[in-house]
Amino acid sequence: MFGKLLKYEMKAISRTMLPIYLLTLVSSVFAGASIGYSSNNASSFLPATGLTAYTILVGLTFGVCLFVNILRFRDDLFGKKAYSTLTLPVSLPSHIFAKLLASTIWMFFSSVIFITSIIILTIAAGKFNPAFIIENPQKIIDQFTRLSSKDLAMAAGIILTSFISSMMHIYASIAVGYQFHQHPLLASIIAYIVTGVISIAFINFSVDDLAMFMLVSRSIEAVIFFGICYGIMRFHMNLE
Amino acid sequence: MSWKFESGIPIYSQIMDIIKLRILSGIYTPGGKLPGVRDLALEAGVNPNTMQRAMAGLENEGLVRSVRTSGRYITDDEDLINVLRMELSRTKVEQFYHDMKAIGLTQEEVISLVLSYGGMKK
Amino acid sequence: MSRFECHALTKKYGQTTALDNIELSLEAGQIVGLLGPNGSGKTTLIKIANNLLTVTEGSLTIEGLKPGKQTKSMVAYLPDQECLPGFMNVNDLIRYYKDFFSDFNEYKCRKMLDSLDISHKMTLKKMSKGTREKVQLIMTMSRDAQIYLLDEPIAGVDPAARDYVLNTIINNYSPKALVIISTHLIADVEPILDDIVFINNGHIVLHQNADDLREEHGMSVDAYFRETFRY
Repeated sequence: MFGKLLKYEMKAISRTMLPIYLLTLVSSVFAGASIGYSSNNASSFLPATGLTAYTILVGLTFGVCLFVNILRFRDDLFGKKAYSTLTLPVSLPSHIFAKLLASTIWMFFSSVIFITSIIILTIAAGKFNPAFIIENPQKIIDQFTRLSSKDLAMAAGIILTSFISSMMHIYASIAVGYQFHQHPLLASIIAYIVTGVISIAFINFSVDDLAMFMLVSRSIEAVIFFGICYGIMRFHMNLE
Repeated sequence: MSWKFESGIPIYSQIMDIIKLRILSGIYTPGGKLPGVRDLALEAGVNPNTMQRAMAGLENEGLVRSVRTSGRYITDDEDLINVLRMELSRTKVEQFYHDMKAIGLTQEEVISLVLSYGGMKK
Repeated sequence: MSRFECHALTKKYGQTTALDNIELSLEAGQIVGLLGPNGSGKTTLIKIANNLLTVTEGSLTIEGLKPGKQTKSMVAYLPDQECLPGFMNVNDLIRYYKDFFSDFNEYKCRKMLDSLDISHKMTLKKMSKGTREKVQLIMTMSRDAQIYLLDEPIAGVDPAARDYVLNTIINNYSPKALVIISTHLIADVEPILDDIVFINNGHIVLHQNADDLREEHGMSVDAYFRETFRY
């Protein structure tokens, strides 16, 4: 059942994100090409617009992704659609996890598209030199092995837990805020600030390793925010 | 289009009256098969349980009999149907007479009115 | 054990009491009308049954279970507002229902849609409000559920569509299922009801068979209701 829930999450968001991804990639071609073209000619108008458009689209790739996922969480679980979603025979944690997982996956896709678009831009600008990779494979491999796998894993873990914690923070704030039917948005913002302050105040233990601290504290935060979110939905559900 | 029901009288008994009328007017032939409860309920626009109650009532009066696995059939007892016809007619006449008196006609006026109407309707 | 039971069910919002010590017991094979004016508590009761609202005191059980994941697979709910995703078309919707509800009857669904000439490829967004409401009803009634909770199924629906809704409910009748219709439009719905449950100000005022009520009081349920509540 969870898989099906996730399937529909992914499908729903794809309708918005896929066109943006396409536009971003296309604009990266145009931006790159216009840079390449203008390095031979004096005009800087084309690359300026090209780059601006591309930058905006990259911003949208991340911004819209975040926005759309948060909106979906709110509408599906606290808006009119809740009358349909919350009557599905799935557990409450499934609903929350499905949305969390979908947000994380889409953010990951956005990152991949971003990196891809940069590569495309570089290629389109003619600055990409595949010969470099072919002639110096050892140098490139060395660059990667210098970073130990432990460091990479830690970095990935920190990024992941930070993202999850942030999303759960937002979700929990929405859950709390939308109990106040008159001013749900305002209440959500206040809840966000209050829960944020509390979490910083309480998670304060000393560890030598900063990276480990970040990893653990973010994880704890994520769990606490999940608890708040679940607790509100389970024990104080009050749909309008 | 569902059957028309009056307020204040239980629907199941109104259904019984409607079906009795259909038997008398020949819509349901003596010995013929009745549609199933569900189909009748759908046609009448009523709850199947209500229709079931009406059927039970008709079975009680002997106008309808149920044959297991086969369905319900109108009685082929012509005498019983005639008795029903007479009863219903009597009720209607009583009501008619009562209404005419309320308008202020005498018995003679009522009779001549009926006869002339009967003549017109040829 | 009864299908649908309430014991000392109470729901308070701060100082306001929406439901006060409700006792109710409903069984399968019936079409029950949950009747009452707006604000009487009927919607509150239905929301609790669907686990969209928490109980303050007492209990509501469906097949002996508290509202939750398991009861949701037994209950087919038609809310009184539109809540289906607009971008989906009918085929998508059918797949969605099939995915989550094992009791969804696709054949029944498509038959009903065809009888209304509703295209299976049309998106909900593009349909008129009336058609969307009919689709929502059809999806709900296409489930072979044990309990149907219909919240104001004919309010805001044109008269021709009302007949369709009522006929669909009759047609769908099964002795194994319990249908609860919550509405304030009593006159239209009366003929198809077995039992009447009157609710007012969070109290159950009456629970009786519809025909018995008509016989006892010599008036329609609607008329009796208006008299009782002067409304």
